[in-house]
Amino acid sequence: MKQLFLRHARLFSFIIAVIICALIPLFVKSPYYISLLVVTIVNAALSMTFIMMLRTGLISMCVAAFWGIGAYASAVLTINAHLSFWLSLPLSAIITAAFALIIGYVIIRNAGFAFVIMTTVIGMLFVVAIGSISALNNYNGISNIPAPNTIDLPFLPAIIFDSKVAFYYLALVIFVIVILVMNAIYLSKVGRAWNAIGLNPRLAVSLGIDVFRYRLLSFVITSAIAGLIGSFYASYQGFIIPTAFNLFPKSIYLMVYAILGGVEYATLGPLIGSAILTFFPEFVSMTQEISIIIIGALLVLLIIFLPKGLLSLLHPKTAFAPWLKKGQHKNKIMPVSERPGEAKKI
Amino acid sequence: MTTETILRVDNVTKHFGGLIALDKVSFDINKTEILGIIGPNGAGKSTMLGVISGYYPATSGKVFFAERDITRLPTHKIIELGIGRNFQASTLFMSLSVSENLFYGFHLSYKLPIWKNILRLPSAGKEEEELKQRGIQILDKMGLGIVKNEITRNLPHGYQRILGVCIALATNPKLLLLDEPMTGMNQNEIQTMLQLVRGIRDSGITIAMIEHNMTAVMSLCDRIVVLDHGQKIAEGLPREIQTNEQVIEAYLGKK
Amino acid sequence: MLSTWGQLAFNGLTIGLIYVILAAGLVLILSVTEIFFIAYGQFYMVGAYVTWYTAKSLDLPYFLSLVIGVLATAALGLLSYLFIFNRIQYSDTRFLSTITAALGLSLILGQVALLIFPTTPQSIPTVFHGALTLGKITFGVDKLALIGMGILVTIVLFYLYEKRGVGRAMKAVSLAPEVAALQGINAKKIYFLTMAIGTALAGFAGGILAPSYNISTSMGNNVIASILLMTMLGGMDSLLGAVAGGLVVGLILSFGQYYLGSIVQIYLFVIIGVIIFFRPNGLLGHRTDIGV
Repeated sequence: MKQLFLRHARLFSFIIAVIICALIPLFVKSPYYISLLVVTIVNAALSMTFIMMLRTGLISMCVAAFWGIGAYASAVLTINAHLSFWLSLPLSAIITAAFALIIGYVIIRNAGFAFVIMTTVIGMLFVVAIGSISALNNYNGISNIPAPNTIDLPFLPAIIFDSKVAFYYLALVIFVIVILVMNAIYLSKVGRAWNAIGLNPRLAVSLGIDVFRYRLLSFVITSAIAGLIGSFYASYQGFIIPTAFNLFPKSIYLMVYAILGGVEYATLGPLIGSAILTFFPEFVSMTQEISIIIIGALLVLLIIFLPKGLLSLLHPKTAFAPWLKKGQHKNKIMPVSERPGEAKKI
Repeated sequence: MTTETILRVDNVTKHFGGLIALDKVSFDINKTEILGIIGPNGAGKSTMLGVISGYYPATSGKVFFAERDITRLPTHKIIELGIGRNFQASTLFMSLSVSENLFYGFHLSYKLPIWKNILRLPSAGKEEEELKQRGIQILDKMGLGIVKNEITRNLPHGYQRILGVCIALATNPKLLLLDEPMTGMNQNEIQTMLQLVRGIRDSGITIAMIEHNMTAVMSLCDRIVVLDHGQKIAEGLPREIQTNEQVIEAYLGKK
Repeated sequence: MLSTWGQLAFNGLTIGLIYVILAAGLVLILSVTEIFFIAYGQFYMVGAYVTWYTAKSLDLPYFLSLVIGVLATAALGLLSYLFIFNRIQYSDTRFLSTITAALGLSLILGQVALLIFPTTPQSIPTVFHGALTLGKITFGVDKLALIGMGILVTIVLFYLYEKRGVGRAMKAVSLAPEVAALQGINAKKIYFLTMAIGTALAGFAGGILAPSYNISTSMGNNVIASILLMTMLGGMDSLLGAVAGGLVVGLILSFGQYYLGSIVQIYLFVIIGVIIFFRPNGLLGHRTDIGV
């Protein structure tokens, strides 16, 4: 039995963690804290998509924008097209993926600065774009987005989405599915191709890897996931406003979660970063301005002293910035995970 | 193009801005031969390799691989068609182990549909296991079996170069382009490399090799092409090249 | 109609010069240090506010304030490079690290400015009074002065970049730092110098803007997207491209803002996106590998 456990240690740890999370609402009764958990999950999932693109050398500054596309798509589908949330959820993901396919096809041609610039501009212009569409209510946002329809399963009580706890479980289920899907891809031939591209694109090409296609694939998949989360978010909140999907602060925060946790840990990193920063303001109260300064300072300090995030402290020898030891001038290479095996970690 | 020709370089010219790196170069590579490409520094040898493998688009001229025009094809497609190459510098996944590095070379070798791979079906697991075994076989044949779990960046330079060739072999090439495989190696390592290259050819793979080590070139290559200042100045058997006046001048003239 | 166009063109030219200077500074930083310096917009804002503060609160003459503004901004840029970017410039995660650091710096500068400067838009009185009128078009003398100073600085910049050793050294480091080192060029010094010049230019743009237009603490954020697009359009390693890009985008934004409103930025983005798709180096640039 112990052998079985050790061999699939990660899987078992994952299952235990999920069970613990499922039991939380039995002990935590306050809807406020439950909602914080939901927000943590949403942020963690979005931050995970940032890392998935980072694996292939793409630094996207517009994750929040695709999250927004999914949210708005879902709002329109459930309100105007009167579709059930359960139908709108996958459809929003597909719609977002379609946008990502078109945009990605144009901007992924040159990864590197051009890509970052384009995603930065997209991230900044998303709000303006929505704001100019009167059918989407311009800058006022959309409210009264219906909650998911009640699920009627035989032999079980109906699942009604009228409380934070119900949404918490839905978020958990979606999160677990997202984690499983992403890790399956990471471990597959696709994930390996992404690793190769991230570590050494020139070598990857010589192995027959179509760098453009795989980068585009990562862009589309991550955007689909972001859109999916957006759809959930729309029905969870009941209302959406365009400024929630702005580069500043949302997209930047998503980056911070990933970097704080550790970009080499595709799932744990964003989760830890998101958990810490979502709950931190609860214990230390400060004004909006100060908290943003702290986030900025955190980014700078992290990247200088602990570039691989908190989780890198598990391997103290390689955690701290190389320049703290006697540094040598290294070549500028496309960075990302130096230990892609970590992508397997849940 | 005869049935014996596996690659034809047809009047290839390559400009980099104002610099003419290759000037109407033409030659054929015959099946299962070892062709040497030599010439003084800056002659355009690496550029030629880059054009054939698609890293640099040719300014004019054509390249044919097994009767197919590959001139405008992207590199990954050319690799897919059966041309493999290594790199001058140690272009490897430095943070990964030797066997992991090699495994990446099997990207094109997966036969099962991708969804089976993602779902981690048993058939996919079996396929990956087979590929892993194939990788270990290649490593053993090339003498890297003992270090297969070492992290690549810790390997001595000679081993890294051999690994580079191994990874290129993993892509199952019909034509293998070698870019200075013996540079930076000591005498023992060079001897090993000579044997390995012969072994590769004996298994049916055609080889085109850029190399500076003249002894190695003369003993290893069936035919030699000589480049100087972007032009082909000689082509023929090793002993012809050795006594070719233009070739001698090109090398000595540099000094 | 014609006079509206003329006025829009003149305004566009004025704003265009500002953009030219900003684009030029950013192109220098991007191509030489290869840092994705998204904090650049904030240095523009800092220059404007330092000039404003010394002119308004310390009551110093405008040109002195302008010089102080430029020097303060350059100093801030140097300090940022010294304490932040110098440490991560050579790491193997430099691509993500430099972007992240620049992002963090942008946040810090922006928020600190929000805290210490008044929230309402400010301005300082100009020293160039009056206006010329041609038909129905008003050429404010202050704006003419702005254009003049902008052109002057751009010419000096080109002279330094093309004709003097420092420019050649910057180009060498931008193309191949290892080779430049072999030629005796100290890449590190060039990085510092480039940061100083680049941020100084941003500060200068802010400083010459202040008397003619309102300044706000969000002015940096408002322009950074456009400047980034400009440098992409012109070519990230081409100073001339920055100038061309700056003027073109400045004029487009001026006319576009008037006739279409904010949505003009989106059209601009799409157009530039299409251009970049067919010409990845931008109109005048040569390299597509910057930052990679």
